[in-house]
Amino acid sequence: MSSPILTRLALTGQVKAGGHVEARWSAAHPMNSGFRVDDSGHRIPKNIIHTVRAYLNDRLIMEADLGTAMTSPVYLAFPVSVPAEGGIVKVIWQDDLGQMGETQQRLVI
Amino acid sequence: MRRTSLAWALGTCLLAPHSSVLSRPLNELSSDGIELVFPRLADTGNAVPLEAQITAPSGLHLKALKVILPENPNPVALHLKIMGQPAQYTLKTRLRLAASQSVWLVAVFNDGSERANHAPTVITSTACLDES
Amino acid sequence: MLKSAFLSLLFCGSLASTAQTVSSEPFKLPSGPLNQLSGQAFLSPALKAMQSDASTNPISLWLEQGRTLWNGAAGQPSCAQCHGDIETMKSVAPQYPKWSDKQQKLINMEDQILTCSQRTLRPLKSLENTELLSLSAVLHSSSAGLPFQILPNQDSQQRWQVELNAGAKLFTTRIGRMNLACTHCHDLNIGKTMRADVISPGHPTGFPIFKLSWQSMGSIDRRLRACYSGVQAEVPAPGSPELRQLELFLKSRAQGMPIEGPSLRR
Repeated sequence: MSSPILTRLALTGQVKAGGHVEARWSAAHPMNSGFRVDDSGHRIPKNIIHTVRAYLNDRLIMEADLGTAMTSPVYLAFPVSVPAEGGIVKVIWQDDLGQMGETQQRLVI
Repeated sequence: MRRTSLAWALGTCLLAPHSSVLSRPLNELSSDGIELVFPRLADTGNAVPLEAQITAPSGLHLKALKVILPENPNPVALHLKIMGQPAQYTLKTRLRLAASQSVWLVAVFNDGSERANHAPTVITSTACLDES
Repeated sequence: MLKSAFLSLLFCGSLASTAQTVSSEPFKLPSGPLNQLSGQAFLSPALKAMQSDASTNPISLWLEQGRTLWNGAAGQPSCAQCHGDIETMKSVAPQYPKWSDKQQKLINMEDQILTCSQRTLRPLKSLENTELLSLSAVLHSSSAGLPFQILPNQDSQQRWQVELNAGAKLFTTRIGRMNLACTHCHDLNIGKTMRADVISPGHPTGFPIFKLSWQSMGSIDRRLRACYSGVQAEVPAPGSPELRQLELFLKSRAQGMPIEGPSLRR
């Protein structure tokens, strides 16, 4: 599968300096748990997004270790505090095969 | 059901060589300040939505959250580390459940103390066998 | 107990003190004739909510991919180069499946996308390929609100009729270990529950679907194959003529019902 994993980042809620928005991140990653078997009876090897990091203006604000219990597509919503100058929210993911991806959204006050 | 799932969770963390998931049995921890929204009857075991709202005890802030599914083969669904020192946090996600069970949300605060709350669900599967 | 109640009020009025009521609303079918309901009516309130918000709907990922593929990255070959803006394609999806004289078989929307892609520098390989499904998703999304327009071509009317009759026969023929025909559930037992499923009339208005139990998008071809396994019958290979004949019959049966665009299903 050489096509890139699709991700989406939405920042919802009123953007006010000092307030919070909700970052809603999702990724169309197959999240193969390693437990499933394909049509010919072979085990589909484990490949999940194991780490997600969120940055606000290049500062790490959240780091998540994901297990096989996370659904596909992965969905994670978490708060981001809005700095007075606004900025960029960036979410980076990494999976068991070493693939990585990045999505960002701008916070405009 | 609760006792067996707790025993399972404890057993799992005793067996796992590297995990320090639980410092104390979950049911000994206070659940104050943790509100969970989890369906009583899940549409499907493949995507069960969880919402957790956590308020830290006064004077403390949140450092980490753990989502644990004791009946799943890999019980630690999510371990989220929080920078910036929030007193309140709302987390939403979707989980895959191997069996009907309670989801446990453990909140870790900056002084190392922990609180935990849980919510049960019964999962349903599609009525017809699907081999597509 | 008091403290949690106070905190619940503090957060928002919609959380009751037990903090579990949001997704537990009972599922109810609307009143009126059940056999004209689309699958949308059979979604629980929680799934309807998930579908209605683009930031929570898993389908948004496929729609965005579809739009990107359609329009192409700068300098890359794209569907838009031949076909123009996706909005101009809205009358296309409602016409499928069609009889193809060239291929001497019925072809559906996904078959057509696959064929089209062979003419480009990025040929796609299978019907359930994620890029193919995302293109199908945007095509069906552009047709949302338009009714099925299943009509034969002038010069192949007889052949088309043969295919439609075959589809109708398949719909009423018992198959599988369960020895059931489609009509037994989807005409005669609509609204009845099987475990946690409520039987729908099976109108194909929401394809391609994101089925939570598949944890991915899938075509009508895949869903019909799932039906075969559901009654414990031998599952036809993807693209088999009986699957296209059934699709032709189902869409004719749903003639006049509006396409809903790619939808969420359990």
